Amino acid sequence: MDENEMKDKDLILKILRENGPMTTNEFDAYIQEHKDEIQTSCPDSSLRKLIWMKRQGFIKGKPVKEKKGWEWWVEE
Amino acid sequence: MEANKFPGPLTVEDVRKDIPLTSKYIYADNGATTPVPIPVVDAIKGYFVDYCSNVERGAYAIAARASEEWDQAREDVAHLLMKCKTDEMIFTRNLTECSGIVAHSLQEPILDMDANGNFGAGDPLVDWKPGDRILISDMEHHSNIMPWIRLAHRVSAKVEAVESSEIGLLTPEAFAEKMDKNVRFAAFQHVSNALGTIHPVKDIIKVMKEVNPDLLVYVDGSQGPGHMPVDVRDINADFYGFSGHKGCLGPQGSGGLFIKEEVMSKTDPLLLGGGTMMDVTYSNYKLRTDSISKRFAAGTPSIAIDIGLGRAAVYSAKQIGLERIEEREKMLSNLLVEQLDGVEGLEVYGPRADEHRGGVVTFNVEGWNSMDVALLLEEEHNILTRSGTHCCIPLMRKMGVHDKYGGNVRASFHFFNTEEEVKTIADALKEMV
Repeated sequence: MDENEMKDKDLILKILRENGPMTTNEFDAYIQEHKDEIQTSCPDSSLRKLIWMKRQGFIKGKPVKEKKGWEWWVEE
Repeated sequence: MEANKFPGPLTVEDVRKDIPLTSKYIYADNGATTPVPIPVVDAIKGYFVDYCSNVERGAYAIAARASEEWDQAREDVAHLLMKCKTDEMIFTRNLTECSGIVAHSLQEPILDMDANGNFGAGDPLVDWKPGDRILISDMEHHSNIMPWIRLAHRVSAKVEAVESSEIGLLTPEAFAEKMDKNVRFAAFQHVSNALGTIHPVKDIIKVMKEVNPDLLVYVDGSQGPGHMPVDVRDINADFYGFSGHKGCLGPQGSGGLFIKEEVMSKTDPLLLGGGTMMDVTYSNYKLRTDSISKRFAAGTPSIAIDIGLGRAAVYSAKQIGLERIEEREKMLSNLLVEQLDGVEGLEVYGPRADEHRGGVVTFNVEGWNSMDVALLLEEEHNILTRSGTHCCIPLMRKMGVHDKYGGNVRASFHFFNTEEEVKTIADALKEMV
């Protein structure tokens, strides 16, 4: 991640804090809805950013089969 | 390199031993990139350890050896992977760079000094006129769409996408229907990275050139060489580009571009500088004439990477065998399709017929985002696949999977994958639904 991409970190934390646990689809839908305010690249990138955040320990994520997808949240 | 230098042919187990990642993961992402076998790594390391020096510059012994090894690598890649002359092959970083080189050559006529010492522009490869058209297909990777949109914008031409069939096959009939003499350039893929279809590119080019013999054709061979035998001369492409790190088992950042001999001499190199010229003054230059293809190797090349690609060409073509790779990839992908077909809650895309499918199978699980499926396959089964839009957003939209699934999931195989791995993938997906 470069300096500009790193700005997404705070934004993703804010989104997950405000909306509570979100599935990938919910997160994607939020990004699409707010794409004028959020810098994006290709559609595949939002999940890659979530994975990066999880690997860095900023957020948690796990598959929830009942919801047919992964769920992401901030553990305070 | 001599064919008998290597014991062969290599078995699946031999290749798996050469690729240590295969003992930790089910690596099914060969459409994105392939893990590099140890002999290729050794060839790269050998350059750095034993004869690290520039090519076509120094006169000392290891510099001469570096030049010889680099030349040999280019010969191996040209002869083994594309069946073209060495002087028709340019090393590139990947297919995307190939597209950029071709796009530049279609926009700018060659600038050089003629035999009489006059410096100026030669005849353009295409003398663009208002109303001229560029044909692509509706299945292309962004790297085979974006450069042509930019080119069309700059030369006032129009890009049109030829429709693929329901199974994702490009047909000569569809291209013939769109052809007229105003089509001056066409660019389309050999094998689909998103559906796995192997297109009849030779037949497509034949029908197009019957209408316009001057038509120039660029084939995106990203998923071709290394996965199967390719003969660019037989196909009759004018340009054929590929990435060395996909089927060819070469290092990441390697690739090659074939330019037909009679076209290359009229092609303006994108980059100029050391290695490309015969003479330079403050007001003009003369491009080298001893090797036309080396006009395109400006500056110090990625010597180790290119040597690695050469070794990978020998490894895949001579030590494994391209026919064996193609046959095995088809067997594995057909096996997966058979196991997934008809499973409720699974959508499997692309052709069923063996002759049209390479080593790629794409699918979705109902209700799941494709990225989540790939994440789960890794988390629970160590299965590595690619998911999302595969740099083919227009195709994903056409298929109706862009908004619904965020693209699709792709399992893409190589020679080293096994029937057991295919069964594990199928079982994991059945468990999900």
